[in-house]
Amino acid sequence: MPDSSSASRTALSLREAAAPALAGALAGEGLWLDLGALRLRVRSDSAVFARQLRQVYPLFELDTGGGWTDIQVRMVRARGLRRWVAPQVFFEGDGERVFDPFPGDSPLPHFEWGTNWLVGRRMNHLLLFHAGAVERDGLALLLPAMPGSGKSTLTAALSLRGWRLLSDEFGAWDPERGGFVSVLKPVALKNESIDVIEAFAPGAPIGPRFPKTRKGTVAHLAADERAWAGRHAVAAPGAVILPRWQAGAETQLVPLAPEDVFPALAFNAFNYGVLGEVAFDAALRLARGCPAWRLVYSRLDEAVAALERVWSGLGRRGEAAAASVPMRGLA
Amino acid sequence: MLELLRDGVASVTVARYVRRPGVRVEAVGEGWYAYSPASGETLRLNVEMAAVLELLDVGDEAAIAGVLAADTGLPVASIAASLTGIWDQLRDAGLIQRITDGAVPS
Amino acid sequence: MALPEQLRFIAALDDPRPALDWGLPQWQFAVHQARRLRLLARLAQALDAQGLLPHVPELPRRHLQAEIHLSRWRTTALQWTVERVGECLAPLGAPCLLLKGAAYLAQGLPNAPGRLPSDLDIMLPREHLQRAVELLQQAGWQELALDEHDRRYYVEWSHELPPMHHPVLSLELDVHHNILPTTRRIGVDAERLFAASRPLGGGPWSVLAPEDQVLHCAAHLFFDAEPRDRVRDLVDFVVLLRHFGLAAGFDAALVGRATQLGLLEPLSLALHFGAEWLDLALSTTLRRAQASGPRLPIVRALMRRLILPGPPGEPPPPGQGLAAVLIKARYQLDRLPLRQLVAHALRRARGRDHEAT
Repeated sequence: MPDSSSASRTALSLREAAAPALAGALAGEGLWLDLGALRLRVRSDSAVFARQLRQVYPLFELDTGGGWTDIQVRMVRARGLRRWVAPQVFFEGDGERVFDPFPGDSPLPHFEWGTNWLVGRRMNHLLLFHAGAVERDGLALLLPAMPGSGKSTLTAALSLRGWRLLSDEFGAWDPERGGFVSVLKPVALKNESIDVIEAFAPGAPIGPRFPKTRKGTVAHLAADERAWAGRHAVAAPGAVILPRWQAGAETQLVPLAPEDVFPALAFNAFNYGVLGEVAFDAALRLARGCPAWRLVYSRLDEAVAALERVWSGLGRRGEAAAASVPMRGLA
Repeated sequence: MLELLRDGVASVTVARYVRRPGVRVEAVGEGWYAYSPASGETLRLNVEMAAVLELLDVGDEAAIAGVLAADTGLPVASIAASLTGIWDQLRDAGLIQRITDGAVPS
Repeated sequence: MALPEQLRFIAALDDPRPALDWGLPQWQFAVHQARRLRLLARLAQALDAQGLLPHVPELPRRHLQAEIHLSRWRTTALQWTVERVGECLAPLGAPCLLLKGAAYLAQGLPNAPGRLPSDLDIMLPREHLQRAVELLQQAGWQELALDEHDRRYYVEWSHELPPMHHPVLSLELDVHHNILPTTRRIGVDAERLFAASRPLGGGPWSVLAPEDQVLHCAAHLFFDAEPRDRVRDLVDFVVLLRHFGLAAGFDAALVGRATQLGLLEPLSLALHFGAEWLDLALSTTLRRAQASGPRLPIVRALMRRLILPGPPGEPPPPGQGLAAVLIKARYQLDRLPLRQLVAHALRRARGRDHEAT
C-alpha cells in the first residue's frame, strides 16, 4: 500500500509528469487520486480527458501503484458511430452508467459532477453537508449551499487567501473523529464567478472553460499546495456562514441564532436521513457550538476581509459544550 | 374510547398519548428539534408541540388542554381547538403513540 | 462445482471471524463484490453483532460503517411504512400478509439484520384488492401512472398491482394477490397460502407459513428477481431453510407443500445451488427433491450463467441477458404470446435504463 501521509512528496505530481505518462496510466490500470477522505481510481481512453484532468489536478500525485480504492470511475469514449461523429464520453461509476453521455470535448465537468454524485452515494460513513468547507488555524468554516449564495465563489476566494480548501461541495463531517475532512477536488465556478475569481486573483490556476453545459459555463480552480498537503488533516468545528451575494450591497455580518443554524445544516445535507440519530446529534453539536452569521456582500474582497476579522475573534477557543449558552456574534 | 368528533366542536376526548421509545426532544437556542427513531424524521417543533410533548404525563388530550388553559389564562375551548392538528402531526412524525385501554403499545 | 471464486466471501456472512485475517486486497474485492450483490450490509452487521468492527482495518471499515447506516435507514423506513400501511388496512377485515424482507424483519429471523429494502411487498386476497386500494388512496398512496399496455399487463397477467407511491413515505408499496403470476403454467393456489398463514399478533399483519416462505423465496429467486439480487436471494433461501429446518419434520413438509403448490422445480434448483455454493447440508429427503426433474442440467446451466456475477466494477457478463430471456420464456411462454412477451420485456428494459437509482 502506498504511504498516504502528506508529509513529504517523493512522487511526481500530475503537473510534473509527462503528458504521455498520464494518458498511458489512465488508459491502462488507472490513476489513483487521493482526495483525502477517499481514494478514487480513474481510468479513461480519452486523451482529451487526460489533458483536462492534468490542468485542474496539477498537484495531485501521479499514483499508479494500485492500492486501496474507495470508488472507481471510468470515462469511456462511446463506441461505434459516436466515436467519430459528434463523439461522446460516458461516465461509469463502479461499473455502472447512470447518466447520459457528454460531448467528447468536455469530459471534465461530467467527471466532476459524476464523481460528486458517486461520493454522495458511497461515503455514508460521513455526514455530508451540502456546503463549502475551508480551514484556518485548525478550525473549519462551513458555507452551506443555499440558492444564490455564491458559496463556491466565496470558497474559491478564501482558498486563494490562505485558507485551506477541504471541499467546495461537501462539508464532510466524520462522526468518529468529531471533525471535518477533505474531499479535495477543484472548485467548480459557474458563469460570472469565473471572471470574478480571475479578477480577484489574476493568474489563479483556472482550467478550461466549458461553455454549453447544463449549468451554463463552468471552469475549475485547481487546489493549491496547502490544500493538498493538508488533505488528511481533521478540522475542528469553527463557524458557519450563510453567504448571500447581492448586487451593490454593503458587506454585512448578521448573527444567526442556533435554532436557525440547525436547519441550514440538517435540511441542507446530502445524507442527513441516512445517518439517522448520528446526524441529529452532529447537527445539534454544530448548531449549539458554532458561532454563525449571515454574510451579505457584493464585493468579494470585503467579504473575505470580514471573515478574516471573524476568525481572529474566534482565536483558538474550544467548542461550546452541548447545553451551553448559544454563541451570538462577536463581543 | 370516544374518538374526537370532527364537526368543529370541541368535544370530550379521551385519547391518551405517550412518547414513543427513543424519541429525542432537544432545545437549540430558542427553538426545539425532535428526532423519532420510528419514522427516522427530524422535526422542528413550534411552541405548542413542545409544550404538548412536555405535558404528556399529565393525562389525556382534555387534561392537557386544561393545564395549558390554566397556565395561559385562555379558554379551554380555544386551547383545544389550536391543539387539534398537533396530535396528528406528532403521530405522523412518529413522536407519540396512542395508549389503548391503559396498556402502552410496544 | 466448487464455490465460484467471486462468491467466496459469502462464508463470512455466517461466521465473520476469518474476515479479520483478510489482507487489503481481499477486503477490496469483498467490499466491491458484496456491495454489488447487496450483501455488504449483512457482512457489516455480522461483524458488528460480534463486536468485531473495530478490528477491521480503517479503509474497508468506512464502507462497512456506511452500509450499516444505509441498512438502518432503509429498515427504519420499511418498518415505519409497515406500521402506517397496517393502520390504513386494519378496517379491511382481511388477512394481510407481509412478504419477503418485511416478513423476515417482523419475525426477527437470522436474515433480518443488514437488509436494504427499497419497497414493501404485501399480499391480500384478490376479492379485497379494490377496497384495499381505496383505503390506501385515502391515506395518500397513489398508483404509478402507467400507459395502457403496462396497465393491462398488471391487471391481466401479473400477480401484483402496479406499484404505489406515497408523497411522504419513501418506499414503494407492491400489493400482490399471489406469489407468482396467475397465468403461468404453474399457477399457485393463493387460497392455500392464506389458509396456512400465521398472524403476527397486534395489528392486521400475518406471514406465510414457514414452508411457504421458503418456497416463495425459491420461486421468487428463479422467476422474478433482478439478476443482481439472485445471490442475495439464494443466501436468504439457505438461511431460511436452516432456521425453519430445525423443526422436526420440516423437510418432509416442505417437499410435500412444494408438490402441492407445483413448486418442486424452483425448490430443487435452490437446493442444488445452495448445496453446491453455500454449503447447505441436505437431509436425505431434500437430496431426493434436489435430484428430480427432467431437463434439469440445461436449466441448471442457464441458472448458473444467470446468477453468477461478473468481476466487480465491470458491466454484467455477456450471455447473462440471453439466459434471462430463455429462463423467463420457459415459465411464461405458454401463456403469453411471444410477441407480447418480447414487447413487455423491451419496455421494462427501457424503463430500467432510464431510472437513475
